[in-house]
Amino acid sequence: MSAAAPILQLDGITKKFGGFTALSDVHFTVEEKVIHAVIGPNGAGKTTLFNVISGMFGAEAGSLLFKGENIDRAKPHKRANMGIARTFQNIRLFEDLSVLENVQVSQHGRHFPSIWSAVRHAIFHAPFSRGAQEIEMEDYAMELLEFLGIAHARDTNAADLAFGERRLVEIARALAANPAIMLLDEPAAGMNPSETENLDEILTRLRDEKGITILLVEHDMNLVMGLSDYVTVLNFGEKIAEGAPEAVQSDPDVIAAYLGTDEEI
Amino acid sequence: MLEQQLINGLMLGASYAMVAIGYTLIFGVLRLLHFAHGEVFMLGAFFGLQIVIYMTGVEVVAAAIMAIESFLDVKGILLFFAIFGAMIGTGIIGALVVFVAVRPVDNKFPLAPLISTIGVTILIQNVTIMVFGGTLRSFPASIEPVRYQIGDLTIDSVQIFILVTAFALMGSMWYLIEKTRIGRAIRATSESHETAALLGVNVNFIVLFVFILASCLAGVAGVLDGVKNSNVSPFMGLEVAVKALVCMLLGGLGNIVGALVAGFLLGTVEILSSAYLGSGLRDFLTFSILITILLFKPTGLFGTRVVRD
Repeated sequence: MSAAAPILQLDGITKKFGGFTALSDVHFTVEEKVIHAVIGPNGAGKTTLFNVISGMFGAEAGSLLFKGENIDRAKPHKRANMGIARTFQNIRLFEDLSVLENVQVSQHGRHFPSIWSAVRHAIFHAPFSRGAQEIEMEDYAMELLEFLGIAHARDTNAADLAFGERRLVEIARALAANPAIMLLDEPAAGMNPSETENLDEILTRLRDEKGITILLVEHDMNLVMGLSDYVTVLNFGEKIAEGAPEAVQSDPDVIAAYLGTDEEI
Repeated sequence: MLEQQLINGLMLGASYAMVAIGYTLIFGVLRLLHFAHGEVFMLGAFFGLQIVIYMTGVEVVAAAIMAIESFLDVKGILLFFAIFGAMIGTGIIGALVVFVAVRPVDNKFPLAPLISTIGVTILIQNVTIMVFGGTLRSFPASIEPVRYQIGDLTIDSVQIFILVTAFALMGSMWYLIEKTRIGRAIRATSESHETAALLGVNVNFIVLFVFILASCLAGVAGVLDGVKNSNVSPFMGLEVAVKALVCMLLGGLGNIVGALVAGFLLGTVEILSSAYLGSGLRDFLTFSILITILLFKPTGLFGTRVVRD
C-alpha cells in the first residue's frame, strides 16, 4: 500500500462491559479513500467499535491511531473536529431544528477554534449581521443538501421528515464537518430498494468525487459486497476474516459465523 | 386606572421574564433547576447599587459623570454603568457556579447538582449579609425621573428605560438563540449532549456559556428591579426565583419564548389582582394558575422543548 500512514489504525482494541467482552484484541487498518465495510452477525461488536472510534467510550486496552496520531485520549468533540464524523444506527437528528440547522450544527467546531473567538462572535457579530463566514457556511450546507437531493426540505423540522430523508440528513450533517473519514452505522436499514440504490450511488460518489474514506457497518449484503473495497468481519468481538469482498464471502470461517458449522447442526 | 396598572404589570413581568429565560435556558442544556438563580438576581441588584454609590460618592468620578452627562446632554448615564458592571459581575458569578457547583458534581445523580446549587444559594445569601448587612438598603435617587403624560397615563423616564432595556435584552437573547451559530449549538446541546459532542460541539463550553448568559440576564433584571423599587435586600432573590420558576413551568420547560410570555402574563395578572382584588390574593392567584395549567396542560402553555432521553 501507499507510504503514508493509514487513515485509521486499530491496535489491539479491547472493550468490556462488566464481564462481557464486546471487542477482543481487534487489529485492523483502514486505508485512505476506500469504502471499508465491517460486517458480522448481531452482537459481533460493530456498533461498539464505532463508539470506541468516535470516543463515546474508551477502550480497556489497545490504541487508536488517526492519520498516524494517537487519539486514545481525545474527547468526542475533538475527534469530530479532527475529521471523524459518524451517523447512528437509530437516527439521532435534532428534532426541533430545521434540516439546514441540523447540518450546520456540525460546522460549529470547525468555525470556533477558541472560546475567545466564540465570545467575540456572540458579542460583536451576532447581533448585527451575518458575517461572510456565516454565508459561506450556509452555502456549503446547501451544497451538501443538494448533493444528497434533500435541498427542498431545508426549512422543515427534522421531526417532520420521511424516514429515508432522515438518513440522508444524518449523512449531510456528518459531511458538513468536512470529515476525512465517515463512520456509517447501518445507513441502509429501513430503506426500500430504490432508496438503497440511491445510497449506493451517493457513497460511491463521496469516495470518488470528495475523496472521503467510509467505514461502513451494514447488514444488507448486496450493498456491502457491491460497494466495498475491503471487508473486515467480526464475530463475538473478534476479527475472524478480512480482505476483498469476494475473498471474504467464500471464507469458511465467515460462512460458519453466519450460518453455523456442521457440528453445531 | 387600567392602563397604569398594565404598565406596572409589564414592569414586574419584565423582571420575571428575564429571570425565567435564564432558568429555562439552563434547564434546557442541563436538565438542572438552578436553585441559586434568584440569588444571582439579588447579587446583580447589589452590584448595581455599589456601582451607583461609588460613582456618586467619589467626587472625581461623580464630577466626570456630570461632565459627560452635560456634554452629551443626557441624564442617567450612571444606570448604564450600573447595568454593565452588574452584568459583568453576575456573569463571573455564573461561571464560578459552573466551576464550583456543577462540573465537579457527578451528573449521573440528577439530584446532586440541584443540592449543590441550593448550597450556593445559602452561601451567596450569607456572604451578602456579611458584606452588606441584612437590612433593606435604598438605591440612591441618582436620577430625577422626567414624567410624561399620555392622556390619563403617567409614565416616567426611568420606567421607560427599564422597559426598553428589558425588551432589548430579551430580543437580542431570542436572536442569539434562534439565529446564530452559538444559539444553534445551544439548541442542539439541549436535545442531546452526546450527539452534539459527536458532531464536534464542545458541550462543556456551551454549558458554561449558557450559565454566564443566564446570569448576566438575571443580574440586569436585579439592577432594574432595584432601581424600580428603589431598594435592595439580600432576601429579594427568593420571591423572584419562585415566580420565575412558575413562569418557566407555565411557558413550557426549555421554551424561551414561552418563558418570556409567561413572565409578562404573570406580572400583569399579579398587578391587576392586587389592584382590583387586594394584594392578599396575589400569590394565591399565581399558584392557582400554575396548578390549573399543570393539571390540564402539563407541558405548559406553549409546549415543552425538553424531551426525556
